[in-house]
Amino acid sequence: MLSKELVAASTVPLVLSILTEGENYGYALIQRVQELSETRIQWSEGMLYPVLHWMEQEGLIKSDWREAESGRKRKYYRLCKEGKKVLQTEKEQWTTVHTALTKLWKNQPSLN
Amino acid sequence: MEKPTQFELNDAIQRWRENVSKSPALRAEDRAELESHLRDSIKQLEAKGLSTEEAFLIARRRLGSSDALEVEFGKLNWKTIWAERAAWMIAGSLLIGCLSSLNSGLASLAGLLASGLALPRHTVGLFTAGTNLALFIITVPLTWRFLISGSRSLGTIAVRVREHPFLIAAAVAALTILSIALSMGFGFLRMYGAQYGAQDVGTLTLWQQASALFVQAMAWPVALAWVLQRMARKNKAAPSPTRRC
Repeated sequence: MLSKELVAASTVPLVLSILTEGENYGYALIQRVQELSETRIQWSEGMLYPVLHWMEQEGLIKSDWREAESGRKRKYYRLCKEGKKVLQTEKEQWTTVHTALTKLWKNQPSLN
Repeated sequence: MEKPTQFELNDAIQRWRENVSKSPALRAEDRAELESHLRDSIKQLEAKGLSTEEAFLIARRRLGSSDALEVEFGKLNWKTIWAERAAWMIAGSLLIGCLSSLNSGLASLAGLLASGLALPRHTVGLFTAGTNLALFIITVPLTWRFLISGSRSLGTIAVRVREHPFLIAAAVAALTILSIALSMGFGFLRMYGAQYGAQDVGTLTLWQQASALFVQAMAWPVALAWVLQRMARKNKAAPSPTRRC
């Protein structure tokens, strides 16, 4: 399980990255994250929506209601230009941390 | 124990929706999105072999409590929350104005009638003031009762208003018109009374105004304190975590 802080920090890059695969709706985003993390990343489901709405306010993503095959309406989110830019920055930052930690841990075999 | 036939999913979702509707932090669109999520989640859980009722209970729990949702959405929709609070405050102060002019108008009418009985001037004055206070004691709790008790609780009214925002605008307009009409109407009655020989309308008006002032300065604070104390007791009975952003 991830710490609360790490969950909060990684939500935006995770959502942005999943949306690069194509537009999607809230429930499916949660499913995708669980699948990718082998259920180790657990979001409190309702809390994703305020984050999505905040991201939309910031112009990172855009949403619209559309009818799904089942006939029910769902709110789909898709990536915006600004979102792609933010994702690029996030990617660089997470990679920096990841690279640094990987290097350190490679030299410390006792940790493996 | 299990009674799958008695569980009606749409009713359960309707109850859930009413529960989250009580907060202005969630807009209609937010509720629709959460409901869509809930239905997706229920479907998925049912596919895993759970009964509809079990699926509903688990899906609702995973979505989060309405208090937690309210806090998180409130951070985002604080403008809506404050706009609604302001609207309620305006409606409340207009209602107070309405009640005040109704009461003092009725009191001055009672004074006029009493002056027809050729009582001493100050007895008439005291009678007017007493009527004003008595009316206050009767009408304020009655209004409170009407607004709070039974199915017409403020929460239910708030939900209705949220669905039809023009209701509150219409209520504010109606209250303003009522308030002005009441004070004008009673003003005319006083003039009419003066014409038909009610004794010493000057003193009468003075007493009436003094009593209205007394009621407004003394009785309203007492009434507010009473209401707040009742609310505090109610909150103690049903504890809920502190919300608001």
